[in-house]
Amino acid sequence: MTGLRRALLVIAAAALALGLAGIPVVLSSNHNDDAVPQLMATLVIGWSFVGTGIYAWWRRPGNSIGTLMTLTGFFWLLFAFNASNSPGLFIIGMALPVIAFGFLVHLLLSFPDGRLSGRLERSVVITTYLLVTVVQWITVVFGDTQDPSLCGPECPANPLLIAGYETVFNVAVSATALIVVAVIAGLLVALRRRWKRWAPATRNAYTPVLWTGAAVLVLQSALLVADVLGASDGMITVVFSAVLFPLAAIPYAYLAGVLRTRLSQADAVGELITSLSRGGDHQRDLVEMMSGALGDPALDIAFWVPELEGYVDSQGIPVEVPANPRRWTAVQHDGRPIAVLLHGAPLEDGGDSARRLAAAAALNLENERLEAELRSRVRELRASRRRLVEAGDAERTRVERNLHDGAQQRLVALALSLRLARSKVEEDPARAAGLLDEATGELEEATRELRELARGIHPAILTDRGLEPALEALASRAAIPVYIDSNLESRLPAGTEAAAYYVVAEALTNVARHAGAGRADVTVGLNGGDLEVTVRDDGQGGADPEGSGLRGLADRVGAADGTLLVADRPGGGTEVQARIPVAP
Amino acid sequence: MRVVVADDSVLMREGIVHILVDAGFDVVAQAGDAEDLMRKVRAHKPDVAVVDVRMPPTHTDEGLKAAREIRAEMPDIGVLVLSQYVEETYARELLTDNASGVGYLLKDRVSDVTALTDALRRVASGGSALDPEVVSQILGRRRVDDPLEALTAREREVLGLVAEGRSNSAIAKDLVISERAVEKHVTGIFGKLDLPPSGDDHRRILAVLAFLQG
Repeated sequence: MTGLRRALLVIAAAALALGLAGIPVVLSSNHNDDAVPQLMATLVIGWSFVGTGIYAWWRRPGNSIGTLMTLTGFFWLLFAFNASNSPGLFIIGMALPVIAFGFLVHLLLSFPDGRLSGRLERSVVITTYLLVTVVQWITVVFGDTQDPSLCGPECPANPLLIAGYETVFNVAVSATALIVVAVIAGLLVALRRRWKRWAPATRNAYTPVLWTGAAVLVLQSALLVADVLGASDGMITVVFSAVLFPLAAIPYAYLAGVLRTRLSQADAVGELITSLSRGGDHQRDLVEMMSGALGDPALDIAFWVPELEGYVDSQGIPVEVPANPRRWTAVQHDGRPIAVLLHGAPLEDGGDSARRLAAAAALNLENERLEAELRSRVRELRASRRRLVEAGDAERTRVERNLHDGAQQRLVALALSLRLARSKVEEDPARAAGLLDEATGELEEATRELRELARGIHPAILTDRGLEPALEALASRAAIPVYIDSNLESRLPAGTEAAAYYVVAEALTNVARHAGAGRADVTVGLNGGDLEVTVRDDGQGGADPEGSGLRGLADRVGAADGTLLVADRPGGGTEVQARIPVAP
Repeated sequence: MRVVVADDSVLMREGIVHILVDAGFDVVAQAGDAEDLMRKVRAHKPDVAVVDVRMPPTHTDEGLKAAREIRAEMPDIGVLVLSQYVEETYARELLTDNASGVGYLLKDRVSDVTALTDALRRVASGGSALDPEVVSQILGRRRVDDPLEALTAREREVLGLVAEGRSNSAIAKDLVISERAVEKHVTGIFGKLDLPPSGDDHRRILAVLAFLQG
């Protein structure tokens, strides 16, 4: 920020210098009568705008309000130079200061967050800028400053003048007046729309700024119209003076708004703290209190769940944080995220008030967060449980089908062969012998299939010999080379061994089915009170943790109270690690 | 040849006894659990004992333990272990340091009288018998840089039969080639796999298994 501070100090010094430079110019003017009052007005307004603008800029560097106010002030200070006797400075003082109104319109229409929204606002601002630059310069180039209707014979000659285009000049002036009226009308409509979108708190603080600004611009356009219609000089001076007062008031109205916001925030925080300590203990109350304090009826809160690395609402259902950063404020406590406030109306003040409130309510938010985390976990458990049961049912269906289509068929065929053999045994013993051989073959096949099926359901070697031999058996039947590395010295409880075995079995199935790997390595060992089982392959990697294969694995590991980690290996391939607490 | 049969399933036991008697063996005793088996074997001193792996009380591996006990106590008695499951691990345990007079067959194999009697005779005479399905599983295990890739198809066949514990003459008869051809193959195999040549059938089965199980 020191860079910004230095820059702002330089700008302040420049504004001071510019203002001071105008003093000798005005005092030595030979064509300006009410020089001194005019000078006062110029300096007061100019320096007020620059000063407030610098403050707003420093307070909210990202918000263009500060810059716009400063620019308004700077250009306004150039007014002093239309008292100059030198044609160059004089024409500057005639042509440039009106650009201040451009910045003022932009300022009003992007108040208070510094952003324009919608086609109307943008067109009004662009038209105004064009008006105060291009159209103004047309009049500057074709206007004879020494004509009494403009300045007068004592004024310096217009160095840019292209003589003989009085009609163009008159047309330009009239056109300006018309466009100004249209612009002002558009401005008022846009301001009203903007105001309606403001949250109540913003309205409380900053409505005066809008009113004063609108008043200035309406009066200024009245001035232009009056001039075109040929009002007297005296009339013009009166109206112009009338413009100056609300104009000078704008920066102070802004400051008042800032102060008001601060006070009401302090109020709201104080009220919130009192209400919270009084003990309203449901999440609805908390949201109501905070939305009341922020003046945002559509406020909602979502809570951080570390397991999901995301936010959930009070029922534990995941919530997505909106992309627009002005619609949410993150709340932290002890460096950890707790919750996020979701705003109904986009933040106007950079989220200060929201953050202060959140800090005051941090402990309550943490409580709510714990509840929400719990509910989220319950939801996940329910879903996991359902998936496990479904997987079990699917498995049973598979077994039933295997039995039906496989062994059962063979046994039926076997029965037929035997019956046929029996019927042929006397009349055609050779044929009978052949049938009996067939029957023996079918029987052997059926036995083999049943054996395989039983092994798939639960391998006897797992119960008889334990995890490592069962894993070796898996490895020897695998379609790719599988290497088992185990440092287990004794057997573990049956439940733990079974969980680990099925995790590896399913992981290896996944590898065979998806990974396109050349080999897989399985590591088994005890780590603390947990059994750690890792399956690594050198396939294509990129496994999707939400895919049905890995999710089934996660469910199974979760059911054993364990955790599952899936990661891509640096050299390619996937690593799946399960940690299963050893059942007592 | 005198045999003792041990299996806790009466149906199975009777079936095995029937087949053996039919094939000309002398079944001198039957047992229903490991303790009973040891008693009967000590009493009758058969040539070979046929033992089911799973028996009371725990129905896990009593048969294996009994087999080891018999081999340790009475090395002249061969033991043929029958199991319902094909698992490398059991084969390894059974044949740990001494494959002589030990066999491991799938129970299904019992219905193949030739295979059964062949195995019994081998085991009784101090050789070894490993079920072909166990062997094919061991051979079939995938490996990175599979050393078996260096072997020809015929050599793999021969290797499988060596791993079953067959003698050269038995292999020759099975593959319908000369015994000399078998010897050449075996030398070739052992050379390619960089194994020291060993004479006895039951020693070479150990070498091969040790090699295959890495």
